[in-house]
Formats: sequence, C-alpha cells, structure tokens
Amino acid sequence: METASVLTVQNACKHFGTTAALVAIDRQIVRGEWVGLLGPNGAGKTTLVRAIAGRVRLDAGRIAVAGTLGLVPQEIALYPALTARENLEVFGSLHRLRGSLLRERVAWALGWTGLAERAHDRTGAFSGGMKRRLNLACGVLHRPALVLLDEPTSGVDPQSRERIFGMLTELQREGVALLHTTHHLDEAESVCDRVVIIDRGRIVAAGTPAELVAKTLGSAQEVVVTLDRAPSPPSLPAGASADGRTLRMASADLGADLPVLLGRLRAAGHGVVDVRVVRPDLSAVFLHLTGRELRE
Amino acid sequence: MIAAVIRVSWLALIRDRYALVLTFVVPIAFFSILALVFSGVDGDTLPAIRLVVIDDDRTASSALLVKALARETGLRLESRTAAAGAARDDAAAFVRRGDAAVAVVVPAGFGERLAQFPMATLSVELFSDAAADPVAPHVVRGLLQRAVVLAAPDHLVRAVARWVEEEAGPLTPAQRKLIEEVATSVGAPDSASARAVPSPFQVVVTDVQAPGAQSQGAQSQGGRGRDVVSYYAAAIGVMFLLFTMTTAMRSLVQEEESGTLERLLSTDLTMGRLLFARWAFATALGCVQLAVMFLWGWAVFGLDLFGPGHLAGTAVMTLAAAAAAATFGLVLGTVCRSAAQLQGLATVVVLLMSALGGSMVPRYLMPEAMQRVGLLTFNAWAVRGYEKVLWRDAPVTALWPEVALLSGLTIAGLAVARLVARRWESA
Repeated sequence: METASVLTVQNACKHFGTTAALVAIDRQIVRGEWVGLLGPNGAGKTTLVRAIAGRVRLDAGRIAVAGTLGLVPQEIALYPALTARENLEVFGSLHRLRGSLLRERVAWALGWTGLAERAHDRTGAFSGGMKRRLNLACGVLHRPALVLLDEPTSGVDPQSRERIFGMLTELQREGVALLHTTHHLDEAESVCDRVVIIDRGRIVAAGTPAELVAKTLGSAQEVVVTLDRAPSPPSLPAGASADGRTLRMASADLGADLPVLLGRLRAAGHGVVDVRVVRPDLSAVFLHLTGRELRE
Repeated sequence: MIAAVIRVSWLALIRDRYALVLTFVVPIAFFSILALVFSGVDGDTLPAIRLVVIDDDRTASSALLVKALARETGLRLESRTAAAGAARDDAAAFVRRGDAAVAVVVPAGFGERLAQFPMATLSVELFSDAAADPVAPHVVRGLLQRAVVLAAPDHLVRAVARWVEEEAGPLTPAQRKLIEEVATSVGAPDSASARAVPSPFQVVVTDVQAPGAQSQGAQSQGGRGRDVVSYYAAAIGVMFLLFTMTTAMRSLVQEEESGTLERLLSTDLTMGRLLFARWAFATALGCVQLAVMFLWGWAVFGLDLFGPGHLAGTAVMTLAAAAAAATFGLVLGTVCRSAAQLQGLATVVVLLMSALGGSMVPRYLMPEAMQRVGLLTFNAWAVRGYEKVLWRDAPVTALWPEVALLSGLTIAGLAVARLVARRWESA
C-alpha cells in the first residue's frame, strides 16, 4: 500500500465563542487507510469532519486534502421523489461527471450497491438498508481520494451493516482513504486500521485498536468468576475484589494466575459456577480516557 | 450544475400530486368561484371617490358647481383643464389610466343653459369604469345632481319663472316680486330651502371601457373581457403565486434538515448557484402558474388576454411578479430554521399581504389609509400592473413603476437571501 498522505491536518484550532471545539489537532491519513474517529457527543468530531469538508473555517492551522473528497452524511441525504438512478445522476452531475463517464459511474454504483434492479424505483420507497447503500454511493460516485463517513451504518440491521462494510472494504482496496465517525466501538475495533479518540477538542489517543488497548490499559486481562455464594474476605486472593457472588481479578499471566485462584477458592469451600476472561477493548479504553461511556 | 438542481426541483414537483394540485388547480378553483360570484357585483357607498373635474365652461356657474362638488366629503376632487375640444377624451383617459375612479366634464354653455328652464339640454357627462369600480359612478351622479342644485338654486327659481311666463303669460309685478324673494332666499348660503329643489338636469354616464366609448381608436374590436374576471385572475393568481413560491422554497429548509444541503455543498455546487437555481426554477414555475391562470380566465371567463398589447403587458408583469414572488419565497426559505416555521410564517405573511394588497378585496373598496398601507405589499403592485394592462389598455411602457418596484424587490431580496444563507456555508 502506498503511504501517500491524502489528508493532512496541522495544528487545527477552532473556537465557537469561549468553547474550544478543536485544539491543536495534528493528523494524517494515507491512501487506502481506514481511520475511525471516536469521541463523546460534543467532543469535536463533527467540527473536525466539517472542517475537513471545508464547511468550518479554522481559527488557526491548516487542512490539506490531496485529491477529491466524498461526504457520506449520517442522514439519508437523498431526494425521495427521485429514483435511485436519478439521485446518482444528480449527485454525479454536481461532482462534474458528464456524459459517458457519468453513465459509467452510475452503472458501477448501481451494481456496487446491489440496486441495479431497483434503479428506476423512487428512493422514498426503499428500505433503510437500501437507502444507506445509495447514500454511500452518492458520496463516492466521483472516485474521491478521501471519504468522510458519518455513522454509515446508523439504523440498519446486521445484514445490511455487513454489506456496507463489504462495500467500504472494496473502496479501501481500491486505495480510497476512509475517515469513519462512529459511536459503535466494536465496529471501529473490527474494521478500522487506526482509531483516533477525540475529547473536548483534543486528540486523547490514536493508534491501532490493539495499540490503544495495550498503551492505555496494558496487557492485563480480567478474570471474572461467579461463585455459589458470596466469598468471605479472608478467602480472597491478593488483587481480587468481590461484588456479591462475583469475583474479579486482574491478571498479566493467565496461565499461572488462574489455577492458583481456582485452587484457593476450592480450598475455601466455594463452588465455581462460571469463569470468564475479559480482554480490555476500545470501550474500556474510551471509558478510561474520557471518563464517559460512548452513547448515541 | 444549476441544471442538475433545477432538474431535482422539476422531478420533485411533477411527482408530487399534492404540490401540483396546490400550484395549478386550487388557484384556478378559487379564481373561478370568486369570478362567478362577483362578476355581477354592484355597490352602495364608497369613501373618498377620486374624482377629476374638467370645467369646459369656465363660467361663474360652472365654478360654483366645482366648488359645490369640492365640498362633498365623499369625493377627493381634482380640478383639471383641457385643451379645446379635448375635455371628453382627457376625462376618459384619466379614468382609463386609473388616475380617477370618475371624471366629470362640465360642458361649454353649462352656465348659460343653467339660466333656462326646462333644462333638457343641460347635461353633464360623467366618465367611469364600471369594471374597475362599479359603485363610484352611481355615487358621483347623485352627488353631482345635488351639487348643481346647491351651486345655483336662485338661477333655477328665476329660470322656472321665465318658463311660466313664456308658457302661461306674463306674471304680475307682485308675483315677480315674490319669485325674486324666493330666488334670493334659496340663493343665500346655507339656505335650507335649497334642498327641496328637484334635480333639474341630466347626467350622462359613459363607461370608458364600453365599446364605442373612446374617440381615438384605442378600443379593441368586438367588445372586451375586462370585467371583474380580470381583477380576480390577477388578484388570486398573485396570492397563490406567493403560496407556491414558499412551498417551492420549503425544499431548501428540508435539504438543510435532512443533511442534503451539507452534501450538496460538499460538491462543486456553491451556495450562490444553489440559490440561483432554486430562484430560477421558482420564477419559471410562477410564470407557468400565472399563464395557466390567465389562459383559464380567457378560455372560461372571456378574459381579454389577447387584446392589443395585453399579451405583451401580461407577459412582462408575469415575469416581474414571478421573479419577485420567487425572491420572497427564497428569503423566507433562508430565514426560517425549519419547514414548520416556514409554513407558519408564510401563511401569516401571505394572507396579510393579500388582504392589504387587494388580492381578496379590491383596494378601491378599502378606506384610503388602508389603500396607502396596501402599497407596501407585493400584491398591490402586481395587481396594479395587471390592472393597467387588462383593464386600462396601458402600453407596456406604462408598467415601468410596477416593473421597477418589483425588480427592485427582486434584487434586494436576492441580496438578503444570499447574505442570510451564509449561515449554511461555513462557521
């Protein structure tokens, strides 16, 4: 994969009144990279995306996009009275596609979205998933170098979601860079090459999901044991805590720690009902860094 | 790019039956109902009728008549002079142009004939436009007759005495003395007995829009369709034009609400082009809407759309009115924060402007103060322009005040809309 940068954000600053929306943001996205942009509501995600789209004037810093930009808003930004083909033609025209090139790209988009057979149906009658796919297609029809995706799977069923990820993966393979704003941490963890967490206008963490977890929470895993009755404090091993019948203990070496823990519980006369090992994920990282759950 | 936006508007319109009905069917239905109801309307009284008096006699008696008319509170009198032999044409022209609701010509010889009795040959000619104002000529005729009596009651008494002498023989000195005393008495200012003197002369009423009423060949052939239908075609057309424009511009707000505007502005489309495309489409739609309305009026109600100069004048006014109305819609579309807000505000503003501007009730029926306030509305100027063309046979050049004002509103409105729309561009 080429490493040419398609997006460069340097020291981007923006204030709305006394509120700092963006504080010294520095970031690059390279060709074919899929970057997740995470943050609680009001963190500055939308401001950053709008600034990249040229819709917010920065107080300081600069943003450079190499090539064209595609925007896929969270809302279904289509004309419901128009057919799928007409919507594609309109947005293609607005991206200066003309004649045979426009026809070719519309045909590609209809095939890519699986809507070729519904090309002449008005989009107002489409299902949520179909609208989402067409919404996506209208934003990438002109072969942008960078696509800004705002919650591209919002409100769709798991099947449609998978299909949309399949479409985006295709784009990524073609070298298109994706900046993906989402509230679905599991989604970001599974599909994004890198994740940027933003809070109060600042980037608080950035890296691959695994890097973020390791850097923020270390490599420790959590053992969660459900017992037949609440344990007495003297029977608890060092580093363990109990909440009713549930016992939790952090472990950096599961192979060594788990047999010791179970042996001690058995010796104390406890029956073990269930044992789970919980790996730290982006949710834990997010909670740790922002002090907030990420909710829509 | 502009074409793409216009295409969206066009497809959205033709696929929206509700919008089509609102744009083309409802205005025609309203117009048809009102045209049917009011095409034979007449009235009773009117406040402050604009009256032009041309005194072709220029005697003391005619001056007294003009003075008596000027005292009438129901008249707003303007005294004019005319070149020799041109009084009738001038009077008709005043009414035709709408400068006066009624014009009166006091003919040469009026004073001389006033001293004779009977007065069958004494007539005053009154020019009116029954289509533009069906009530005024009746009011002015009554006031005119009263004014003649009030103007020179002593002349009348003496004229009657001379007639009696001619018909029945000379009066005795005592009878003459008595008549002179009566004449002197009724001739005194504020004499109550003057009111009892009967109307002594004829008022010839000429409708300036009736066939053969004009002497300079400006009359169209075969009668005219300039009745109340013309008024309602313009008035209702203009009112629904405003409604259509606000409905058309609702798409702007909806695009903002749906996120489509964000997407549109992320393309190569600029806000200026987007607004221009919306405005151009709305203007074209308005032209078509008004054209359909006038064609319906022509086909069903005999509106004189194809009379001399009418088509050109109507086209000019339609373009000016549609452009201004589209701008009005554009301003509302950019100012309002939601479709619901736009709908509510538009309904109030359009109804208010229509009521004051003469789209619901002819402005000549309104009190003068309200007529003046009405001039602040788009409707008043648009209806006035159509009135000039379809009622008064004015040439296209005579439309310059209306076209200039509507064009000024258009330019100012476009500038305002562009400025307000900056809030959608970049923060």
